[in-house]
Amino acid sequence: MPEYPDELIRDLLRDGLSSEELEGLQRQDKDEDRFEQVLRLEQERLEWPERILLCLQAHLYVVEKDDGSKVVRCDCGQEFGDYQRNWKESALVFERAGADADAIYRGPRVADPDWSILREFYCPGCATQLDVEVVPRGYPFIFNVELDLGAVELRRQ
Amino acid sequence: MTDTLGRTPTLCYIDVGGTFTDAFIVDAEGDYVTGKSPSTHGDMASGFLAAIETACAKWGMEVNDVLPSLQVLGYGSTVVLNAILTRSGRTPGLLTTKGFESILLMERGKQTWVDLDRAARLHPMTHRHNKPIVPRSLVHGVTGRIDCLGREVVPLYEDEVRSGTEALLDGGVDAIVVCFLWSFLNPSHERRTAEIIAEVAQKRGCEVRVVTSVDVSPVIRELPRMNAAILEAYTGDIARGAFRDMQARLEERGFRGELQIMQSTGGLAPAVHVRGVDTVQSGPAGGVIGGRYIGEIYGFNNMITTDVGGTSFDVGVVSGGVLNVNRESSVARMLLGIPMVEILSIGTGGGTIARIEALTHRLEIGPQSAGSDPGPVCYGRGGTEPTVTDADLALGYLDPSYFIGGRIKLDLEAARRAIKERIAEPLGMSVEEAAEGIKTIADAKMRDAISGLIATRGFELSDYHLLAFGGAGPSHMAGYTEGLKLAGIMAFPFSAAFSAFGAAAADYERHYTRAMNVIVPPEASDEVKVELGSQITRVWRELREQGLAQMQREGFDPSVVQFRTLAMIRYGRQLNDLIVDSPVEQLETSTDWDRLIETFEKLYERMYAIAAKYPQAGYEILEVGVVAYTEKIRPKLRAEALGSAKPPDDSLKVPRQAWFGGGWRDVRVFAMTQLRPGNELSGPVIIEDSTTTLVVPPGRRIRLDEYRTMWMEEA
Amino acid sequence: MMMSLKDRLLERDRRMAELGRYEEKLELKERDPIRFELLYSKMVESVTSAHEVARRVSASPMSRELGEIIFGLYTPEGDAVALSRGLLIHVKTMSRMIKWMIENGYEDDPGFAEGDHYFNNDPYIGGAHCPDQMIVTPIWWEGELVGWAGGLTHTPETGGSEPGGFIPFARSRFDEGLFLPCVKVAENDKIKRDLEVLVERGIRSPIYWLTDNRAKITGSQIIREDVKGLIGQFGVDYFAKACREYIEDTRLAAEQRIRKVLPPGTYREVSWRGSMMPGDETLLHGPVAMTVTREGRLNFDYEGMSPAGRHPFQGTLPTIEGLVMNVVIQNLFYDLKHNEGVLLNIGLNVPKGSAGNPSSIFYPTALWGITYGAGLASGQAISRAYYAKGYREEVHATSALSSAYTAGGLDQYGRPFGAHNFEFAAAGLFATAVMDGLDTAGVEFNPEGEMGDAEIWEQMLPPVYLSREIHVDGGGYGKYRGGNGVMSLYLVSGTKDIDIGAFGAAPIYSAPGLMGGYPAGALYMWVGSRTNMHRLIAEGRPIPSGEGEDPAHPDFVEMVEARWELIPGANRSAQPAREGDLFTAMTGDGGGFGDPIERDPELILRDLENQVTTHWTARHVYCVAIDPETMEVDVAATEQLRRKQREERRSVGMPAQQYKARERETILRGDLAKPTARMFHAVLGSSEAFRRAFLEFWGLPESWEMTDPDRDDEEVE
Repeated sequence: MPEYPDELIRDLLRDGLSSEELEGLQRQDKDEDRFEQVLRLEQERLEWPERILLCLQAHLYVVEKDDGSKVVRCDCGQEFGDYQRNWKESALVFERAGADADAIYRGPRVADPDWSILREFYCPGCATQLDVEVVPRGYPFIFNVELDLGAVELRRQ
Repeated sequence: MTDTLGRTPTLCYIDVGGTFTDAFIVDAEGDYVTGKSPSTHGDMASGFLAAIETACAKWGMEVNDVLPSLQVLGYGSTVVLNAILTRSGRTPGLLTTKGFESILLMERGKQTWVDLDRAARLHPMTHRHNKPIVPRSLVHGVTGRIDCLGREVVPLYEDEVRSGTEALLDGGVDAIVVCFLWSFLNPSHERRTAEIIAEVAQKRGCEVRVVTSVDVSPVIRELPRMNAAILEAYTGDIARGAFRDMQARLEERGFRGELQIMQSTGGLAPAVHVRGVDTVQSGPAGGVIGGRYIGEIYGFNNMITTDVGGTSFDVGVVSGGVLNVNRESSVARMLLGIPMVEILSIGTGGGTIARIEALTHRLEIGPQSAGSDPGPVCYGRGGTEPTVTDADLALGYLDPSYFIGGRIKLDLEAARRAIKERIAEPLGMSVEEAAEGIKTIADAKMRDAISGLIATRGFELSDYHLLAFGGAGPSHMAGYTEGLKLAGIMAFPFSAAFSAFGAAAADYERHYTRAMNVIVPPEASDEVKVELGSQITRVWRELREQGLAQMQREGFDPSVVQFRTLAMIRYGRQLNDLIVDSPVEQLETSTDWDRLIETFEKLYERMYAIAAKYPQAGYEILEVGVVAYTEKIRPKLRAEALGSAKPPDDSLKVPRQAWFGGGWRDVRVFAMTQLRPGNELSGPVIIEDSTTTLVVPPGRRIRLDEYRTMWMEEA
Repeated sequence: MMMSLKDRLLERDRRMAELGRYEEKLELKERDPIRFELLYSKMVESVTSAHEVARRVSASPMSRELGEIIFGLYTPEGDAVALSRGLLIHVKTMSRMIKWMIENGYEDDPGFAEGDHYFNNDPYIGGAHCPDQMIVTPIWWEGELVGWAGGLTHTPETGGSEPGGFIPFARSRFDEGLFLPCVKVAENDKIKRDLEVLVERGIRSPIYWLTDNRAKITGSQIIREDVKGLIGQFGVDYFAKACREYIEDTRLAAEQRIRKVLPPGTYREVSWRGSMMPGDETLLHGPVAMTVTREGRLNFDYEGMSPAGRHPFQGTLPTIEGLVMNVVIQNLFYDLKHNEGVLLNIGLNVPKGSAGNPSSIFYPTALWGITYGAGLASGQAISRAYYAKGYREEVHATSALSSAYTAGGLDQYGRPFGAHNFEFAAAGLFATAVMDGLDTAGVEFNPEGEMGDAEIWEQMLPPVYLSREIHVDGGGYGKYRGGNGVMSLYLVSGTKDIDIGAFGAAPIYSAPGLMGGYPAGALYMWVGSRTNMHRLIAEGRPIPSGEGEDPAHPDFVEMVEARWELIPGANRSAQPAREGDLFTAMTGDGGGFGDPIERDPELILRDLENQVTTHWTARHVYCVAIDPETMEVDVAATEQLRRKQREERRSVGMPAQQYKARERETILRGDLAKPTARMFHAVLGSSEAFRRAFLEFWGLPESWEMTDPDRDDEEVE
């Protein structure tokens, strides 16, 4: 079972691996303790002390606060509420269609807004684009990751 | 010139491998001697000469004694392959069909995965594009289109050729590759473009080499054809430069002939005339040619050659006295429209790593290899994962103090420890059982490669003799031939240098092909056949003339040049054709046609299945070819009188224990060089020389014939 | 008395239900793991040989060049034991076919004899659509059926209402072409001539179908004979038991792999396709909820999928099974023994009557689009789980939906023909969390994606390429961009009698991005008829070689006088074309990953050098300041641009609750476009679970009902 030095995994998390190093990582058996290692390395980097329980997606973490609540938080510190609720409900939303879509897709690359629009979700804290949904108008927010955190914790024991 | 013993070395072949350079020298009597020296990639000539030196020292001669009398000096070169692998070639630019400028970035998709193993192929996250040899900025498009029938749809826009050439010359290229769609059917645009480039260069007062795809690889499929042309522009000058230097160094030491280079198709060609791209697979062809030659000596038409090296197991096939040729090869993940001797290579050699797959606890061999650095655990150079060689050692097959003649001391304990910790314990086995498991699976992979290659070509194993060589070939031959119904199994005393021997037996050979568009509908009348036949006859004649002229330029007497006549035939609209050795040299009558088609039908039926035939679809010939060749002096195997079955006393070495079929056995050990024709040895027995170890398990025996060829038979 | 196959099949299902495993104990493996692996490696060698030989026999570029072909060895009950490489999506389809024949009494009539070869291309039995054609043959040993060998190819022509097998406007299955459901095509290894005549006279280019059949029969025979050799060597009991153990071995390994690399939870994605049937344009909903259980099972639930309809964008249950198998192998199980065991830990819920499991064979499946989308979405769901576990090197967005052109008529040799160009097997791949998506490199249904050489396609189809380029800015934008697909421009040439069509999709974003990355743009096709190409060429004036940098003003439209027609979505019925006409075809592109303004400017420079992006995009999308002359990045100006972009987002972004309140009004007003409204109306009516979630999300009362968007139309009539 491979185990990787912290430097390698840190480079992975910070986009510092070469294509060959990545290929090596991708072709090996998966290392058993990656979950813990990533949490530890991410924790080192973040500027707040609360313990991260899981990396939810780019920029977002599930964090255990002092009061025992488990919330989604952006690396800038912005909070999105309880992890069992869709974090998108606490984000900024921008619907991109029509001229706004033309601003980044050119000519016929833009989808017909009668069929498909883009819904961009930004962090209210740092204005990072956290997600882009492809949906028709009127579609509920997609709740992408609903964790069985109890089971994840169990496995960590 | 003769030495003190009266020897006249006449033939020498040098095979430069990744790790070692092998020399094989033959004298006028057909006696031979082999030598080995580390390869020196920075200064190829040093390793080259050192290998000759170690060989001729065995005859008490020096390099300067050997070179002057040589009539043939052949060279299996890795110059071109190295230039490709290390991306250290020239800077070519590319003019291609307008609209196709990104072809080298697109790579047809296939080049992102073509040489990967099964798991990686199915795991797209591991796929990667190659860095293109010609960057996008040095690619320019030219308007002009030829269609699939060779018709001009859009004429060549010559002003774009000029502006493109100017731009490339401004960009500092030292060669320009020209590759247009369908140029192999109608080369007029490529030829005209070459002329214009020359004009532009002349006007600018500079020189630039032009390489047209139709001249390098006149076959369908633009990417492989373009790759071939690019590699020629990228490496051709470098290769010829290196060969010239080599020639000069050799002449300093008294060599008076012309250095000959082994080509990927298995023929030699003079160094000054050879194309770089034809020498990509220069080395490995030798073993297969050797197999063909051995077959000729014994009167066998069908041979399988098996070469077990440090990192790979290479299988070649000779059928009906002809080398199998692969026309869709790939090198360093580049598809290449250049014919090469077909060699199936799997990643199972002495240095291949054994490991337990994490999830299923399955014992896996390879494809990872410890190579020669760090090498197997027992080399004691830092390897930690057990390899096939470690298993061979743990089983007692190898003598720790006599590996490569004692030059590498093997660490038996380290090998055992690695097998114990990483394989035996997780599987709940003893070290010996685990080691035997490693060997069994490695042998099975090799066996599957042999039977797979033969089956997919539609051949019957029982028609073939198998030849085992390479450093680790004789150690594993019993294992990888087990259960295969072969006509015979042979090994040679000079196994480790067999590729060099084989290459020394090569002919001078040149391959020529031309694209055609001959479609024979199922209902074709005799008149139509005669008309179509005359087209083919004309091209065959032209190719023969081309071959003859080339051979003459290279100094051969036209009367000794011989030809093979080829037609690549398929059923109507099939995409795969078979290379048919035509029984006729011209297609003048419908009877000639029928003989050619009959040859194709027989071959097809043998390759596939009766149900696969489809004469109702008619036939197509989209390519024809000619092979021009002349024979040359070859190493001779000298027959000796057969003696008694009992080996001479001085051949017996210290016996040892080796593990066979679940238990330790006392095993006699013999010195290979001391065995005599007629000797017979029943397994379990081990036969060693300084470069290889032949393992004969219980139930098998070895018999030496008059050439000292060791035949492995059922006891 | 030997058990009938039907009973064996029931027994297999009972065993699975009872034990939760395929085989109770792995005795052979435990007794001698080396021997156990030896037999398996021989099986893989055999199916691989079959694959290689078959490629050489076929006349179809799909089989020969693109590897759209797969062979397998199956248990007597039809479970896959060993598979060649190739189209893994179709593994389960052959399995389905064998089971179908068993369940439908084929054992008695017409019976399974040595040398029989059965053909099937009915997707409701196995396969995705009419072009997916498989042949299986029974393997007998001393009077007992001990397994099956089979092969599958994708053939480029099926004799449908339009050429090329992919029928873009099929209204029923009967538009798709010739179906031969589980028909015996060979006896004693000899192809039945009468069935050949049926194909020769029944479809446009019979050569592909017929040589593919030869390829499959040849390959199946190889496997069959190899298996007999292996049984001779290992014994029939060992062989049969080992086959079952290989499946269980894989099932166990898959279970452990899931437990190790995916955290328990539910992961949701939504994919979209659209039916472009005139007057009934409808968006199609393809949601997936993937649940990773604590025990190491993966359940894929497609509840809420749009109901089946009179359009070609639905698929059958075997299709979804195949796609899921394909997705889990590529993402999770690439290194295991690939067989039925891969699927045994996987649960599928595809609601009956939905576009992924139509209730009647009447519904066409020619383009099987929505099942494809849902399959891809399943892969992205796995990526989210990988991310949560820290394996970022395995995380990726979605890969492309593609389009291609179809053609039929008389070819350049004067022969009748029908076919499609399948270069889309090298589309743009998804972006990953660690690097850009590969350009022109693959498709989800075949990881060994490749496009074939242009010369091979021009041999097969009359149109001549004027360009075959990487699609500039095709892949979805992102910190890592999606892979760019292929954009080709064709000139109709060499034939006076040709129809040109295309299959594609609706004008939607079909390959979503991940975690802030954008989707790839929509597909489209340009057709220019009655052009002045001949005059341009005769006068030596410039002719176009592609779209150029700005898709809003493509080079070919600027340079060539013609009746130009833009087809959003690139779905077009075959229509007559004449010499000199131009048209485009494009593959899809991959979705992007991450916030585009986090993209490393060096990657943008590389893309500019390779001419696969533009300065316009660099500035407007990636907010990077690059001097077009010196090609240098102005770091300060870039930071400024990116800061401004964040400010812009703060100003246009609306708090989610406020946005929801606004949108709720839109829904209450019924202010939705027809394609969208039809989708909601159909799905709310067919899926109670979706209806509840919808009402809850928008805070609508239980009594709320959506108005039928087509009600008014009916009233007018």
